[in-house]
Order: sequence, then C-alpha cells, then structure tokens
Amino acid sequence: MTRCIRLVLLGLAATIAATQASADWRQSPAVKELYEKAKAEGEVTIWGTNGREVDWIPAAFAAEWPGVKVNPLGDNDIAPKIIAETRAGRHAVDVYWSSITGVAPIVQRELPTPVDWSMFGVSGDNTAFDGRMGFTNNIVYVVAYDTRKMSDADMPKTWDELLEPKYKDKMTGSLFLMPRLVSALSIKWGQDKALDFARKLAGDTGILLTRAPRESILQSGERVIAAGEVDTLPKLWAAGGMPVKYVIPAPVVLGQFGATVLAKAPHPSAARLLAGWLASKEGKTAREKGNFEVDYRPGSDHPDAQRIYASGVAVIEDRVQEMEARAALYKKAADILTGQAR
Amino acid sequence: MLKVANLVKTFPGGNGPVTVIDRVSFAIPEGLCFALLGPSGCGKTTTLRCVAGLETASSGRIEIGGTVVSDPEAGIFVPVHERPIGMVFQSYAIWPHLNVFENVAYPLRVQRPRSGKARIRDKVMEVLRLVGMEAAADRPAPLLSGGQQQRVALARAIVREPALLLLDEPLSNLDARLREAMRDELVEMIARVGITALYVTHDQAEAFVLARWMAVMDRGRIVQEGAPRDLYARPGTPFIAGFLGAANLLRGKAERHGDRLQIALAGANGQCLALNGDAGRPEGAVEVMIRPEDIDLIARAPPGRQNVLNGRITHIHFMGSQVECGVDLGGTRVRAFAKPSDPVAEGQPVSLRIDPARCTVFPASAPT
Amino acid sequence: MTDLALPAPRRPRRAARQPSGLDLWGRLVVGAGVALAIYLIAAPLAMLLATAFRGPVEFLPFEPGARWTLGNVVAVYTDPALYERVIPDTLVFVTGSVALSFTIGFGLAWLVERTDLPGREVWFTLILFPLLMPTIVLGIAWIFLMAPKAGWLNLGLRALLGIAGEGPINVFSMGGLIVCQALASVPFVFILLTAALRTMNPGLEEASGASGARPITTFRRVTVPVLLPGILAPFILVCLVTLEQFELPSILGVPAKVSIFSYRILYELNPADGLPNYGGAAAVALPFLVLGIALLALYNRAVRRAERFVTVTGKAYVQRRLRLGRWRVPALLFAGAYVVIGALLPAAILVWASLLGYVPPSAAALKEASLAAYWRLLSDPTFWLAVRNTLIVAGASALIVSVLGGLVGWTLLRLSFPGRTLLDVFSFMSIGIPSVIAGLAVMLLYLTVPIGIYGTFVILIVAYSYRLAISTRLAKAGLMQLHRELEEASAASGARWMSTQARIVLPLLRAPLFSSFVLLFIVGVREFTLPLILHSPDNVVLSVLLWKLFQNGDAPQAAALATFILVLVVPVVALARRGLMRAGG
Repeated sequence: MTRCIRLVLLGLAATIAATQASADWRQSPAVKELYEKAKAEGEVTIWGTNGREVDWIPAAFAAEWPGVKVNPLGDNDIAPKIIAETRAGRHAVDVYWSSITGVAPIVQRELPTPVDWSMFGVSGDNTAFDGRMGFTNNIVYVVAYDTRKMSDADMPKTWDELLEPKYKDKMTGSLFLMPRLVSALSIKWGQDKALDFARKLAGDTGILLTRAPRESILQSGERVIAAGEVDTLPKLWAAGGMPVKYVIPAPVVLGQFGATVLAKAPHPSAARLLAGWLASKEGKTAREKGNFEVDYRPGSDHPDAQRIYASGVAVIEDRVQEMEARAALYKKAADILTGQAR
Repeated sequence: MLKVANLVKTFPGGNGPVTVIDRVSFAIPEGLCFALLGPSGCGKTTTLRCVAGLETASSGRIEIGGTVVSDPEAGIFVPVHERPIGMVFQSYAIWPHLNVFENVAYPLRVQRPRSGKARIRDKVMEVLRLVGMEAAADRPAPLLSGGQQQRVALARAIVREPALLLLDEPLSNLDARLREAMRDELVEMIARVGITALYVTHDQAEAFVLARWMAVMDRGRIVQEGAPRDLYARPGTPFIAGFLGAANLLRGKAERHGDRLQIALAGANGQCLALNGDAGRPEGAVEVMIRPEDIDLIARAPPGRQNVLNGRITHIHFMGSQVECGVDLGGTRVRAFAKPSDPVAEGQPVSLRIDPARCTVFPASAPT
Repeated sequence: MTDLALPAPRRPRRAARQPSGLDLWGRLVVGAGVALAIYLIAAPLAMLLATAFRGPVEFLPFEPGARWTLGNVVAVYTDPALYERVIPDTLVFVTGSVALSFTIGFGLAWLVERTDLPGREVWFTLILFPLLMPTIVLGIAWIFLMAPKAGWLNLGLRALLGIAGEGPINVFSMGGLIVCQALASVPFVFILLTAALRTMNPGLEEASGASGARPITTFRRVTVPVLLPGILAPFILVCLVTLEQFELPSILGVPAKVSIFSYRILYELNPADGLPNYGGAAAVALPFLVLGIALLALYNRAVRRAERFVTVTGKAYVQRRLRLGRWRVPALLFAGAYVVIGALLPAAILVWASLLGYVPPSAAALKEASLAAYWRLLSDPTFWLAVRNTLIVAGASALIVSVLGGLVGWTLLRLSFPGRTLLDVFSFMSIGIPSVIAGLAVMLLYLTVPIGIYGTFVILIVAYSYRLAISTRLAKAGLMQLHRELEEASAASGARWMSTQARIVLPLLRAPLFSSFVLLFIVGVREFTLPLILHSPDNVVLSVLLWKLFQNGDAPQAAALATFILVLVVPVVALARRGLMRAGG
C-alpha cells in the first residue's frame, strides 16, 4: 500500500514537476541569464509581414519582460529587404516572423541561426528548418457570414459545397487568399479536382474576388458571405462591431507562421528571448489577446484547435515538404480565378 | 561710335545657304542718330541684331566705341550682355511681372559692380521723368498702354547710359495717330540725351524725322546712304525713289540738245520734257522720276508750253489735307496733289506743270 | 499675355547656332541640372532594363546566383492568354477610360479656365479631390455607390425608375471599370489641360467668331487644332499612366472577367512562394518603355509644326471669358455631377466611415457616431511623424522635380547640342517606369553606394524625384509661349544668363511651374509603393500608414486618416491655385 501511495505520490510529484518545469521555463537559470543579457542589449527589432501582426508585440513583451524595447516593422516585401540589406552588410533586424513560404528564401540563403527552442518549452515538432524556425501560430481558412442575413446552419460544411446554387451571387472573396486556398486544397484533392473547383468557383458562382477590403462589401450588403478568409479577419471585424461570424469547412486548411532569429542579429540575446517567447505558450496566449491569432497545430491546447481535431475532420497542415507543390499550383489557380486563363 | 565693316550673314536654307546680309558697311559717329531703312526681309533687323550680339555674323567686323565686339575671322565675339548697348525691341519686351520702376531699374540692378539703392532710385526717376512716366513708377506692367510701354522700354534702354542705343522698329506696333506723337517724342528724347543711336525701320517718314543720316537697304545690301533730304531729292535708283516717298516714274527717250536734255515721254501723246543737260544724266531709254508734290495741278493750258503736260483726271481721292488726283497723260498715269479747295472733278481735263529742277532721270534699265 | 499667334513673319528661320548667352555660371548650372536629372532617371531605368533580364526567379536580381536570361521575357510573352485575352481587354480598358477621362477633363478644364462659371476656385479644388485619395479609397467608395445589389446610386435609380432586381449600374463590369478609372484619372487630365488652356490666346477664337463661326465651329476649327500640342502630351502621359494602373482593376475585380496587362505586375510581385518576382514584373513593364518612346516620336512629329505658334508677349492682356448664358445651368450640372460622384460622395463615405465604420447610412446609425478614431489617430506619435515626413518629402521632391523639369525644358527648347533628342526621350521615358521598379532601384542603389541616406526620408525624396516627364513637358509648353525677346531684353540690359533666368524666366514661368509643383506634390502625398518599399520606422509617411490601417482592417481609423490627408492637401491646392491666378493674369 505504501509503495502504491509512494508511486502515486511520485507520479504526482513528477507531473507537478513537469508542469512546473514547462510552465516555469521562465524561471530556468538559462532563461534568466538570457534575460539579463537581453536587458543589457536593451532593444530588439522584429520584422514581420504585416503591421497588425507585429504591432501588438512591444506592449505584450514589455509586460512580461520589462527592460527590453521591441521595435516592430511589418510590411509586404520584407524578405527582399532582409536579403538586400544583409548583402549590403547592414544588419538591422534581429527576429523575422513570417509564414513558412516567407521564411524559406531566408533559410535558403543561410541567414537564420538555429535556436534551442526547448529552453522555452517548445517541443521539437513545433519547429522547422532544423530548429531555425519556431512555430508561433496558424491561420485557418474560414467562411465568414453576415449574421443578420445568414445563420450557422446555412453555411457549407465542406469547401466544395461552395459551388452549390444556394450560394450563387452571395459570395465575395480575396483575390490573394483564394488561390492560396485552392493550392492548399490540391494537397488533399489532387490538382485536377482543385483546378476544377477553381474554374467552377470563378465561372458559375458569381463570386466577387477582389482586393478591396471584404468587410466593406459585407457591410454594404452587396454580398453576405466572405469565403476563403483567414480567421483573424472576421475576428477583427466582429471586434469592431460588425455582425459577422465564421465557420471552418472541411478539409481544414492551415497556414503556418513562425519566428526565426537571424545569425547576424545585432542583439542576439534579446532576439532569442523574443523569438522563444513568441513560440512559447505564453507568447501564444499574448498573441491571441493582441491579435486573435491562434495555434491550430495538433497538440495545441487552444479549445478551437482541440475541437477540430476531436471532430476527426481532415486537416491540411502547412508543411515544408508541400511548399513546392502548393507553389506550382498557385499560378494556375490564380490565372483561373482572375479570369486570365480557363 | 559704331563701325560696321563688311558684315556678312548667311543662314543655311532649304535650297542652299541664304545670304541675308551681303557685305554691309557703315559708321555712326558719336551723338548721331542713324536710320537703316528698307522693306521687309532686307536684312536691316538682322544687322541690328548682329550689332547687339543677339545674332552671330558670318564674317565682318563690328566695333563699338573703338572696341571690336565681333570679328569671326579673328575669333572675337563679345556676348550681348557685355556690350555697352541699350535696346528697344519691336515688342517692347516689357516684363509683365515687374512694375514700371523695376523694369527700368533692371539694368542697374544686374550691373556689376552694383549701384547703391539711392543711386538706382535717382537714375530711374531721372529717366522716367525724361520719358514722362515718373507718375506711373508703381504701375504694374500689364496695365500699360502701347505708348506707355514704348516709353518705358526707352527709359530702360538708356538708364545705364550706354554708348549705343539700338531701336528695332519701335513704332510699328502703334496705331497711326499714336505713332506720330510717339515719333516726335522719341526724336526729342534721343536728342536731349544726345546718345548715339541706330534706328531700324521700314517707314520712311520715321527715318526722315528721327535720323540725321540714313541708309537704305535692299536684299542685304546698302543701296544708298546719305542725309534724308538728299536721299529724298536725289535717289539713286527708282526703287529708292519709290521707297522714300510717292514717286511718279515716266518712261521716255532722252536726247541731248546742247545743254538741254529733251525727253520724249512714252504714253503721253508725244509730249516732252525739257530738263537741264547735266553731265550725269543719261541718254537713251530713261525713266524720269517726279514726285507728286513737285507737280502743280493747273487748269488746262494750251499745248506747247514748256514742261507743262496735258491730261485728264481719272480719279480723285480726298485725303484730308490734300486731294490726290490721278491724271492720265495718254496712257501713262501720274499722281498729283490738289488742295481741297481746288475745283477738281473726275474726267476733267487738266495740265500738270513740272518743275524741271525737281526731276531725277534714271537709265531705263537701271536696277529697281 | 498673348497677342498675335501668327508664325513670326519677318524673322528668317533661326539657325541652329544661336548665341545662347550661357556664361560659365550658366553652363555650370545647366550642366549640373541636366546631369542630376539624368542621374535621377538613369538609375531606375537601368534597373528596369537589367532586372527584366535577370533570373531565375529564385534569386533576386542582384544576388550571386542570378544570371542574364531571357526567361522572364519569354515567360510573359509566350503566354497565349496574353494575346487572346489580356491585350484586347487592356486596349479596351485603356482607350475607353482615357477617352472618357479626356472628354470629362477637357470639359471641366474649359469651363473653369475659359468661361464665366461661378465659383471657379472652389471647382478647381473640388475637381482635384480624387487625386488626393488613394485609389483603394476611391474604389471602396464607388463600390458603395455603384455595386449592383446594394449600391446607393442603384438603390436610388431603382426607386426612381421603378425597376426591380439588380442594377442598373454594375460597377463590377468592364464598363464600370472604365468609368471608375476615368473618374480617377480626370483630375490629372484636368491639371494638365488647364495649364495648356491658360497659354492659349483667346484672340484666335475671337477672330473666328468675328468671321461668323458659331461657337461649336470655332471650337472644332480653331480651338482644338491650336490646342493640339497642349493636349497631345497629356494624352500620351495619361495613356502611359493608365496602362500601369492595377489598383482599380484588382479592386473592382474579377467577376468582370477583365484581365488587364498591369495586373500581371501585381501578380508577379505577389507570388505564392515568398519572394516577389522582380524579373517578371520588370519584363511586364518593358513594353511601357517601348510604347513610351513610340508615342513620344509620334507626338514630336505631330507637334513640330505647331511649335511655330509663337505668341507675342509683352503687351497688356486680359483673358476673356466666354459667357455661358443659358448654358450656365447645364454646365453647373455637369461639373457638379463629376464633383459629386468623383469627389464629394467618396469624401462623404470617408467621413462617415471614420465615424462609424462601413455601416450603411441611416438615421439610427448616426447615433453611434464617434470621433474615437480621430482621437486615436491624433494621439499616435507615429501619425505626427508621418505628417512631418509626408510634407517634407512631397514638398521637397515636388520642388526638385519642378525646378529640374524647368531646367531641362529650357535646355531642350533654347539650346541645341548633340544628344538633345536623347535627353528629350530620356526625360519622357521616366513616366514609363513603374514605381515598384523605381523603388527597388533606389533601394539597391543606396544600399550599395555608401551615401548614408537609406532608411531616412532623404531616400524617399530621391526616389520620388524621377517623374521628370511631367514637369519637363509643362515647362516646355510654358516656355514656348514666352517670347524670346523678353530674355533678349534682359541680356541687352547687361544681365548674365543666371540673372536672366532668375529674374525673368523663372518668374514668368510661374504658372506652369506652379502647376507641376501642385501636381507633383499631390502625387507625392498619395505615392505609396515607393515609401512602402523604402520603409523604415523613421521615414513612415501618411500613405503607408493609411495602407497599413486598411490592411489591419481598422476601417474607422483608416478612414479618419484618409479624411485627414484630404484636409491637409486642400489648403495646399487652394494656395497654389491662388498663386496660379495671380501669376497667370
């Protein structure tokens, strides 16, 4: 009996220790030392693909790691900037946050350095490119709708249901996201079905594919459904007071984002700290609060993610292996969707 | 003050080079107002612009005040802004964004070394007074009338007391009444200032009034030079005669008889003129030039009177101060003047009394 | 300031060798100016040409793995869709929108410059509004107005005409796209045409009227032929600029099945995999250059005779304005219609959105209106930094380009030297360089060359300063109307070349130089591709800020910023207009 109790107690202790350890990676001596070094450096520069996606970081980081100033910069075409500047010998950026396809060119040119992510409680399968990229969050493709005119029951359960006549002339979508969605779907559906889907979508459903902000089209009442949005956008719109909700049709399509530390970072310690934090649980929580972005990978403790995996529906992850296949289909899908080809 | 020697200017043209100035030479002593007179296209304006430095001559020498300013063969060309000139342009070129004072002060302001503000003010007001524009010193340029612009242009041209004043048809843009008034003013002002001036025009009346010495240009050449009266009374060719004033040209055949020159006029029913047989006068086929004002229109006289020609009035033009009558001598037509009070009528037979001393005889094949 | 517009009768054709009066200083200034102009254009141009032939797509043009290749050009031009769909669609789009914008623009320019339309100064400013707004804002506004189902104009029209269903206006169609692009181009056309109209002598039209011609005949037989040189240059400029536009086609979308050439540029710059395909984008942009040269050659031939229309100046002169009489109301309606659809409604939508987001207008919604977005904006220090940067960059670049353009224009007109045609072509081609390529060129240049302006607003000034075509054209047009004798009188008064330029030519060129300054300032304020590429925390400008806010989906704040930009530029335009009116007389 005592041995049983001791085992249980040991097990309990171990579990507690384990959770403590993972929860308190912040207390580990290695991290504390890193923090001191980061404070000595004083600041860190992070570049990302979009202002919204990095502008929340300074405040959130400062709340948990005071004394290290974060300079965010979010723009299109950030990758060529990094490459051009590095080549010219200017090293202004410490951390680069982007999608897998966005990070790939940087990795190809051996600009990032591998990081010990475990130090931040991040497991190895949440990294890529041999530890150069730490996963921070996903986007998931959704169908958003105006709750005044449609309800959850009206929404499609799968992506090909979008072709049904009941959605004709009701949809709008993004000129950029839709080809990406189609190219991701081809991983599960195969090229032919994906391109056929694109053809029918562009030709028969009257979908309004545009570069204009879709919230304006929904708000004006011109269309009632925004198909192929990334989840952060409807969340933003709703937070701004729009009566909009979304569903996630099957197969679930994810986009993967993460952070890398550049080898020639001017503030290496602060860079590691920031990148590690972003990939950590705490960072993810802060991200969701600041920007609605969530980790949808298997094993994520976010309830939305867990619901998806529990339902057993197919999930198309954004993985390095499939990058090329998706890229190959992108142009064809884009041509079809934009009417440049059949 | 100005010496122009063998000036030549050619332009490359469509069908080979065009010679616009063909070995022009003249000189203007200090204080003289000299006119270059000629029809459109004769090269007078181009000559002026060469003197100014706005055009480059092809060859020839130009000296202003003893300094050579242009000599292509010697490689000398002084740019326009370094020549001691003042120029009045045909369009006046009054700068619309400056007022009268500033327009006139301009040459003093751009001068090196610069003059003091007080001195500029004094000089400008002085010349404005000279031209009668001192009350308008503050007026903006676009509000000036044509005559006022002309005065301002003149003031501007003389304010820095240049050695040479150049005037490019300054009266041609004015209407007739204004032209006369401005012409008289110009004469007076130029005389008062005592400046050496080169005046280019196509209007002989202007040239006569303004210049003490003048040259007639035709097709790039100076064809005659002299005092206005002399040119008028003794033109060298029928062309010059006709250009300087109204001229009747009567063709005929001249024969010397002792010291008289007998000219049988063509188209005059056999009538003749008897003139002085001066040595210079040609014989054979000739043209006799007599100006209308040297013809007396009298009542029809019996034939046979010496130097009285009979004819018939063909037309009458009332011109205000005089009545111009066209008289047909029997083929040849002649213009004469009558006073408004004279009883003339169309178709009326009349006689023309010719003053033989006022006739000029040209050989008939003389170049026109 | 004009009187006779006859070919100068007495002066023989000027020889090519004319003493230009250039002394040492003059030579230095002209030489430096022309060299600077060439430098500003040459870098982007060389980059464009080089980039088009660098590949493959995995390597940026300047990287070690890149090599010279025809691959980009081949890929773009062997695509059959290019010839079946893209070129025909593009031709329809460009000709339609340019024709429409010229019709409207000329009408408006005429009304404002040559008639007694009441409230001219207000009209002038209002007509320029669409130029002040980024195209995305205009696009959204027109979607609100003319979307087939819920567009407000359609709602109104349906009620008025009693029809049901959709339409009648469908902004998501080729027709809709043409109309919207035309509306967006009108201000640009308007500025260029008013500059041309100002320099025309109404005496010519008066003579026509006195000869018994009705106004419409005068217009046809006198006004249009005389104005032709002044119209042709803007026409070509607008054609080239329209060819480059991908904003409205991509906003008003694809259901129209419209495939525009310029969309390829957008596409090449946003591929699925990471790096923009600069080589491909440059390859697509190459024909703009070729087209530009061809159009310029045509223009020069057509205009050579007309350049003999020297107008004699120096005389007192006041612009005579046509009395509209009973045409006053239709004219006001016409101008009003444009201003309402092109400017006032989009501005109203902007203001509405800044207070409320994209909620459709209703009395109930009004209660929710709040200035929160404005407060957020005004309390953001980045905003004030952006204001400062925008004013400095737009102002400085507009000044530089206007002055250089004037200098180059003078050089082209008054001097003759070997290579003059080349300089003319060169300055004109600058309009054919898409701004994204220019931005890349500047970025690369100043990363490589050790002049430390990268990341500051100075690099933006340099980047903006390549659009010399506009100011050169306007300066040339203005100079042609300036009688030579005004310059000669200055020289004959003893002024050296520099003095003549500074005291006489520049002041008299105020009108066209002002026009180009205003235009370039406005273009500078709304330019966003260039500052986006060269973006750093220190040189953020308002347009970049606006773009970010739109991308963030923060509609009220974006709208508030757009409203602010409008409010900022309006007084500038009004001031410039007053300066123009004073200078032009």
